[in-house]
Amino acid sequence: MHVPDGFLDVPTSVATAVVAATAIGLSLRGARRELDDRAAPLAGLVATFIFAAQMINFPVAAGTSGHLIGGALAAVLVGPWTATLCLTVVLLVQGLLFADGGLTALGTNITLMGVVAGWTGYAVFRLALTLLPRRVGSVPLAAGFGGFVSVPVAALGFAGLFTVGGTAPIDPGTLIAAMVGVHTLIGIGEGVLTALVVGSVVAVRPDLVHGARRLRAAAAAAAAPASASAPAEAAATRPGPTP
Amino acid sequence: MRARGRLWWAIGVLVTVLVAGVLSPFASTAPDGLERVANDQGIAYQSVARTSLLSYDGIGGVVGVTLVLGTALLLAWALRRRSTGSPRGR
Repeated sequence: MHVPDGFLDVPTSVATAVVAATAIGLSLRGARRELDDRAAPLAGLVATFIFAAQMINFPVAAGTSGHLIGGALAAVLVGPWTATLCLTVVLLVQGLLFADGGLTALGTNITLMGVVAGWTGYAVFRLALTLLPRRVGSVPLAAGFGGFVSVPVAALGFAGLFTVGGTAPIDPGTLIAAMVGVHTLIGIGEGVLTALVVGSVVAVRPDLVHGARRLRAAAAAAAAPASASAPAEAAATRPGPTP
Repeated sequence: MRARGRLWWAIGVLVTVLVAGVLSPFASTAPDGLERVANDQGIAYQSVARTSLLSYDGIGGVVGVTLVLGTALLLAWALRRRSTGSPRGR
């Protein structure tokens, strides 16, 4: 998904750079609310894991591969603002030192992978959580859905940018179909990897997972008075649909 | 709890190093989704191909992982909300 130099014209690249810079500025403020003494090391680990995982392209179809983007993964584990910053660090190192993604396309890549994939993944994750059973075990599945959807949406974002400022005359419908088609396949890999990694972290350190905080708080609030006053009542209400 | 915490971080770093060092030789070298679509649709790489300072194999991977870890940790640590009054503070 790393856009190289020369795909998009200068005005579009400047526009995405402005979007990226604004997003980074907002994220530097937003991340302060997400990061504390325990979340900060996890953010470092998440960025590093995404960098490592992005080296591993997996085959998705004949002659085509894909790799983890990690926007949804980071958003669920450390929060969506911090996720944008994690992806920005990854994309900066890749673009500056590994020529992976163009320098003039840095803003485009941060916008597509750090902002669009991250926030789409997080929004779908939150939506899926409201539809799934309200327990911490639903978090990895919801995260997987978020990861799955985030990839074709980011691909759609690229197709949109290319329609506006692409350097080759290509029918928008054809480009959208091709981009979304192949990235839906890659999205399956993204979803599986996101669910597995979030599942592993939830299994050992659920307290660290940003996306599980509300569920854990709700569970603690529900369990505390019930266990203190009437354990039998709590056991009786558990299987029913009533809260 | 502290010991378990440290063990958990060690495992996290170990998994990342394993992904970088052990799995990377098995990565697919086929073009990724965007490159494939670009090839199929005739989007040309119009700029001069840049030579990268580092490559993802061996030492490059280690340097990259170290740089990302250091930068992201410093940034996150600088931005974090200080927990005042908590026994685990600072």
